[in-house]
Amino acid sequence: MRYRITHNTSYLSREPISVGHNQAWLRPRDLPWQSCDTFDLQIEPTPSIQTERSDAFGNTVYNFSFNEGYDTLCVTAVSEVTIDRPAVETTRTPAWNLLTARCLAPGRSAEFDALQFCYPSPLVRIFPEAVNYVRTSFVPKRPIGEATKELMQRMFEDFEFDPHATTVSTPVEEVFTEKRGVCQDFAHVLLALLRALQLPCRYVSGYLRTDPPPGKERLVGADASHAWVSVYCGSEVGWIDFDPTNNMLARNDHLLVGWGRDYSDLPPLRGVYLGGSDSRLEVSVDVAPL
Amino acid sequence: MTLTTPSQFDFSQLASHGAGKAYSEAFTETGVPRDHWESLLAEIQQLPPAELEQRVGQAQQILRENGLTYNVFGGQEGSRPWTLDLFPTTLSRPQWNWLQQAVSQRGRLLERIIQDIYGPQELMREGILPPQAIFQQANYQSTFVDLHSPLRRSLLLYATELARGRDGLWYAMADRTDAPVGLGFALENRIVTARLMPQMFHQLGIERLAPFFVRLKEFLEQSGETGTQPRIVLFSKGPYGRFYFEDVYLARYLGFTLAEGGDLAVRDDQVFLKTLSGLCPIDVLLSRTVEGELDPLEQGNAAAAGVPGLLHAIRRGKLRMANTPGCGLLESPFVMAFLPQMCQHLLGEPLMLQSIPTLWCGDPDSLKTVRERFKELVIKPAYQQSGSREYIVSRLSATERAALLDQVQQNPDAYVAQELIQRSSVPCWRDQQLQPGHVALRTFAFAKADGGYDLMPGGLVRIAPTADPMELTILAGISSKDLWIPSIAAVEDLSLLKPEGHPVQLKRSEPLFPSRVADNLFWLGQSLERADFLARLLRAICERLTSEGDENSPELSGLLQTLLTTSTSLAPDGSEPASFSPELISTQLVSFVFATRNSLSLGNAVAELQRLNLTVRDWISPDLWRTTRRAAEQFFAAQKQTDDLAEVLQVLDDLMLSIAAISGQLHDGMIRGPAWRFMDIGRRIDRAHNTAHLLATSIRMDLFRQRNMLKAIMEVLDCVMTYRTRYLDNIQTNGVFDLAITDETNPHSIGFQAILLTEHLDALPQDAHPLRSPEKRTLMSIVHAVRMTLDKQLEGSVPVQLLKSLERILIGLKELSDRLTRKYLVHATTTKQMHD
Repeated sequence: MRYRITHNTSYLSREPISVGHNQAWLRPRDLPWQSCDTFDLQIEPTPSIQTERSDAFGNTVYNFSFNEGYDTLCVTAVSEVTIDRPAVETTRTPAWNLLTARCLAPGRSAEFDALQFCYPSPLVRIFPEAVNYVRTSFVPKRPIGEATKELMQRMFEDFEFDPHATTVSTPVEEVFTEKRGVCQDFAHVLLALLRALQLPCRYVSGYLRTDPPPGKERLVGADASHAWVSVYCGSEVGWIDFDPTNNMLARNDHLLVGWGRDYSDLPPLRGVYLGGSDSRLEVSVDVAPL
Repeated sequence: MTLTTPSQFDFSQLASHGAGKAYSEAFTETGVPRDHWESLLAEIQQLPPAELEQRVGQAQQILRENGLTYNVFGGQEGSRPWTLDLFPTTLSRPQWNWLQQAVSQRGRLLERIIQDIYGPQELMREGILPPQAIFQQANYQSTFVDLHSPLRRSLLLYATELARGRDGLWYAMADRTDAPVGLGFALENRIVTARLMPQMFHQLGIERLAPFFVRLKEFLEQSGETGTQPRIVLFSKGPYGRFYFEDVYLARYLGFTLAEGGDLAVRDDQVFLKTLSGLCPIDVLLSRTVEGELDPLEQGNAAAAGVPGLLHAIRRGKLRMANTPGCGLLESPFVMAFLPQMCQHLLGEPLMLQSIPTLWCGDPDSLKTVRERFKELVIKPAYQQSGSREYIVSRLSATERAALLDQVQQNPDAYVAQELIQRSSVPCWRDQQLQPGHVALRTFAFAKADGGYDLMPGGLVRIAPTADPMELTILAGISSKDLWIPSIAAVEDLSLLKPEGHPVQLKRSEPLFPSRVADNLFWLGQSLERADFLARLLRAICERLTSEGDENSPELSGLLQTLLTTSTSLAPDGSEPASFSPELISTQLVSFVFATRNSLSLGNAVAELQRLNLTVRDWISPDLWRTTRRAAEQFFAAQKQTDDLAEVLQVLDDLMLSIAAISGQLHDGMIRGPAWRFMDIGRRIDRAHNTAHLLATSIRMDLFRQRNMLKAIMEVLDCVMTYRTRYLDNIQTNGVFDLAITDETNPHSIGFQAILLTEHLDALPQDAHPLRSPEKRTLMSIVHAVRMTLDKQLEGSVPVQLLKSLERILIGLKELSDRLTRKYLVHATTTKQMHD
């Protein structure tokens, strides 16, 4: 499948913003099953300086800043992506309780790379109830893919999508208690649950196809940037993407931008600025098949 | 040399102290002084105890002065946690040479480790360092990953916390790699000790500290990327930081500009210092700010102390920072458990300076040992940078012990266990006698061009009366002392100042004048003027309340009204004055005068003056600083003895005299540079404002034709004499108003202030625009209003017009103040965050 993704972020302020420093994670990652064929980043006004580099997780990050004042910042990323995800068999994954020990054994490169995703991160703190909740699905020897699928299913039943219940700073524990939130929150909860067992899992930032193929239901989270969770399932299977918001494995309409330990490692756009007042953020995302 | 002279001190008790327990630095097991202590002990014998005691007193005096000088936000006397023991400790030269080598090796090792952790991560891949111990600690920040490069040193300043065990060997108790504290205190200890024990110091031939600082400076100067003389800034957490004293002390000693987060800005990935004449590029930061709070952009929750964009500037190679962010990870106690293996692996040599035996509980075998020997150990969090908790298991009750062991077993990765060490003892001067004390030695090393580390020949020695652990916080210990290292060669006198006979390059300005300092001076000038005006106003009120005249005399209500509406309308926060009725003020004048919380009161102005005086300590003369400090202290000290109006009058008179002295020094002693200008701009704006406000109030209350009110106005404006010489006793509105508004020769008139302000504004750095700047236009409107005043307005025949004109002036002054602040001074706005 080929898609064109248009991600537009406008930051409007009533009073001029004097100086601003920003970072953006907007370029879809090149992977064995996904390629970013074209990428165009338009920033209005033109930044005083802009650099591109690869971050600690291999994602592309743009740093840009403004010395001159502005009152509206407009960031538009247009990418064309080809995706062809391999089919995954969650049943043919290793037992979850053997996985971490295997990762910790020295000299295994793929496993080593997964290790840094086993532990709490700035936005994913482990809370006591997490262990009890996750244990129900994670009985010894169960394949990790199967167990995660069931965990996701239970979350889907217990949690409710509610765009007004949380903000970016709502702690994951509160989301778990309130059982409400948006896709970022659900991704964080699932990460916390898996990491309570020290299982390697990463936060994935990406997009969903906006209009479903004929006859299919439109997925939740399709109008904005989306987030899900990738779980390491051993060196043979690799990483499997679980979308807890829609209770499904990622398909060819889940387009991947990048990954990190949690949202704070790769927000689509973040910034620090001086001045400005009554500012508001407007985001639009369009993912159209080509 | 043996101690045969009649001894004033009985060493025998000291020598036998702790026999079979702690290692004694000064005496052998048989109670004989060790060779390298003989001369030091002999020297102390020469000093009569009374003399020594007197010097101790002098030392405390110097330290107090230093503390007051540098510890800006007084109150907390805790700027220096320990007393200074003038009796130094010493080490033999061979021991010191060994330590120098051992610390240097440890530094090289730590450098390699951090390069690896934030680089190829081979130590973890090969199982030498457990990956889970790195990845699960918050100190490991992914954003630091690409800041390190094998081509650049990451760890520049490295401090080690040492203790000597019963076996006579030195152990590293902790490594300090994230903005280590204590270098300034060590330097201060040396300066004070050498000053008060000059004979001893010179006779014994002690290694100087200055060459170390010279080399440190040279290294930093060569580490800028530009090739030219780099600009180095000492990056401080600011006056609210716990060790601000050290920041100022070191900055001054090293000759670096002291900057806080708000003084720095990043433009096009280059770090700049905000100065009055614009942004000045900075090449090197000597950081005293912990690495978790450097950059609000990339570290998200980082406090306002940081500089947005700082990390990217380092990443882009445009800024060198000592130390490179990330080094703080090495402070985690768990690292010590793996140092010997890592040393073999990375350097191919055995570790010279052993750590205190440390077991990481995350390792099953270690955990087993910890369980077996639990009672003998100290338990610490494994990943705490500068630990805040530790448990000496033997001191816990059985229940606490069980709970702790349970906690450790629940989450073994998060704990380390360490051996308890019995620290060595040295003779200390305490309570007028020599007593044994236990030693914690913090050494400081700086990167050397050859890849090793240069150890400062000295260190911060902290003394505790017991042998308990004290490496957790530098605040532990009751006293501190200097460490003297005998020199090998003749001691060369080296100072950080350039030698004689080398002419300096002539200058007329200080290029790195931070805007923040100008800001503080601006408000200092205003506070000074406000204190003066309020004192005069209150004196006039007070005199009327105490005189036999009518208490309800109209001018009294005019003065009270002036006082109550004088509002600090120019103050930045625009805080609302508390409501005070004239009656209340008349009856509670005494408490009103001293109140510091009420924005209308004199006490508030004096307290503000005192606070600002401290913040500009670096930029005004010591005499001026002291005069101001004394004026404020005397004012508040008088509060206790003052309960009637006559005494208030005395206090007000004293304060006015002090302010006159300050004004004299400002006028006479201050270089006509930006510091003076901003101070004077603040004063002039406030004075013009006060005069205009007093006059406007008299018109509004329709008192401006009354002889008594006019007299009161002249009193407050300090021009009674001038008026009398001009017009004798014929007091008329136009005469007084001319003097107060239009007479540009009267230092209290609005016209006079406007002329001076014009001069100041012309002298400030300007942008190139050909038309007049907004602040100049505002000022011109004030000059215009003054100079266009007509005779009949001064006479008071058209009071409405005059009032309007005065109100325009008042608004203009406020606008001028705002415009100048916006253009030249630091914005108090905090940074905001944006998230998608």
